[in-house]
Amino acid sequence: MRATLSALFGGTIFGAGLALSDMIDPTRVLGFLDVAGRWDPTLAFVMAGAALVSALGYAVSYRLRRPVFETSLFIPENRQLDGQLIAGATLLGIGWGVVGFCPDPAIASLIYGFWQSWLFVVAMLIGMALQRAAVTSRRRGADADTADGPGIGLFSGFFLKAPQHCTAQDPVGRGLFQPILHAAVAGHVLRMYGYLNSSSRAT
Amino acid sequence: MAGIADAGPPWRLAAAFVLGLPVGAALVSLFVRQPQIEVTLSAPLLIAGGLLVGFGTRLGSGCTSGHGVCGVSRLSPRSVVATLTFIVAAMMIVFVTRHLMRV
Repeated sequence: MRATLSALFGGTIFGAGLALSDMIDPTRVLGFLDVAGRWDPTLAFVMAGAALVSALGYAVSYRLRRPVFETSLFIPENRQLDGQLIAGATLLGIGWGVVGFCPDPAIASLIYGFWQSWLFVVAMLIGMALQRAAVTSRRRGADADTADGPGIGLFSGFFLKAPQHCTAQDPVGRGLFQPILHAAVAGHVLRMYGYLNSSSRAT
Repeated sequence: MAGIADAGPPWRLAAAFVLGLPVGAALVSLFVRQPQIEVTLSAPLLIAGGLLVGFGTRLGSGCTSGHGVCGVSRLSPRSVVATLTFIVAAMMIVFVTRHLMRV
């Protein structure tokens, strides 16, 4: 229960950070991706800043003997590059470039009630189910035990790969330090938000 | 809920995290400011984009947040490669749609 609440809290902070940093605004995201047009590079700072804060969280959690609310950390151990990774990232990138939504911001934006968000998320869930179905049919009869370890690889997905990826890979997310980490992320994003408002909006 | 984890954390944790996303966004709109969202896309493009993002995220074992933030922050080679891949792919698509096709 405490672990679940911790995950809920982490998701809440993350959703707030996405909203504050405008990552949930497809137009803004597409502006970041439009390097040949009126390029808006500011979202790179959001991503890089969040990664920096997360790195601090990992540094702390690697020193923990065990998470506070769970028995073990869920950190992916697969370090091998493969075609599926590249193919998947490419498809994700194409979809992201077409719409400007990626999974977490799209889900966060559901609360605002735009039908576009809902349509996108429904299509996204169908896409995930299709991938799952494709894997299942390909693997049928094959030795399923050769699948990936916990938290990484093709099959680690619950219906949503993406947020799970964060909960799963975020060792801090399994314990007491998750709230601290995400609060730190939020704090950074808040600062970034002030920065963005003062710099980019003024031009 | 279309499926439960084959591996990874208990689904209730993932579900709680997912549930938190819109809650956080709602808190921002309540206490900080109204969201600025502008989607001008047509339904077919939204559906196509959603399908690609959903399929690609699972196939590639992660999304912009999963690879781009969580993975990169712990210097996972897979995540670094994936992040570069989806950013370049997305930038190329935007270039094609905005500057070549002028959609």
